[in-house]
Amino acid sequence: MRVVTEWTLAQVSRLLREPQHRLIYLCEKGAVVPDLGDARGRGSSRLFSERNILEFALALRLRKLELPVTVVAAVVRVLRRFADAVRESDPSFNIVTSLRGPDEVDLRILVKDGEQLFFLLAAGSKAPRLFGPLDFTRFGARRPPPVPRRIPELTLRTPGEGLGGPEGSREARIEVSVTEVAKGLRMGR
Amino acid sequence: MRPPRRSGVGPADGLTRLPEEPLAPEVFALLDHLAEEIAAEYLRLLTPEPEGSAGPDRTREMEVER
Repeated sequence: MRVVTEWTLAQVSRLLREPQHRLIYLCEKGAVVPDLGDARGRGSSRLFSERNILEFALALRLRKLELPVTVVAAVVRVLRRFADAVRESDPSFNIVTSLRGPDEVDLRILVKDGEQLFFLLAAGSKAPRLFGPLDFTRFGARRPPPVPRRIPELTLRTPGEGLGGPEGSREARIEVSVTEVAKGLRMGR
Repeated sequence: MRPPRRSGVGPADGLTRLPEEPLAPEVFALLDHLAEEIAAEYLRLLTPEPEGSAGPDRTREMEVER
C-alpha cells in the first residue's frame, strides 16, 4: 500500500465517510487544526496529516455522543500537546502508529455525569492512571475557570457507588477509547 | 407576537446548553498541563523497569517495615 502523508479535505471525507461540511465545521471551531496547510481565502486549501485523521475520527465520535464542540476541541488539544510532549523525549514518536501498534497502550476519555472530563491511561499489566477532572461546563470564553497552580491528580479509585467507573460517575458516564478509534482507522486510499 | 429569537439561550426544555463558543485562552494552560502529565506517565509506563527493581511503592513499604 502506498504511504500517504498528506490528505485533502475531500480525501478525508471519503476516508471517514463523513460529509465535508462536518469536517469544515470542526476546523472552523478550532477543534482540528490542519497540520499541513490551512485555508486562507480563495484558492488555498486545507491539507491534513495522519494525526489530523485521528483527530477527526475522535472528534466525530465525540460529536455523535452529543458532546459540545468546545469539549471536543479541548480533548483534541490535550492529545496534540500529549503527542508533542512525548516527541520531545522520543523524536520518533507518532501518536497514530503508537496507538495502533503492539505496545498495548490504552488511552481513554471519560465524561463524568455530563460535567467533568477525565483521561485514563493504561499499558499492559501496569495499573491504569486517571487524569482530571476538568470541569467542562466552564470551558467557554464567557465562563473561563480559574487556573489552579496544579491540576489535581487522582489515582485510580476502587469502583464503589454509582456506575462503578474509576472517575466516580454517579448517574451517567461516557467512555471513549482513543486507542480503539486509532485502530479502527483505514488509512489506505 | 412571537418573541425575538435569541441565540445561545438554550433549548426550550430549559436544560442548560453547554457552550459552543471557542475555548477560553485560560483553559489552554490547564489542558496543556494535563497533557504533559499524561505524556510523562506514558513515557514512564513504556520504560522497562530495571531488573530487580522493586519500584517506588515497594521501597516505601520496605521503609515502613524497617
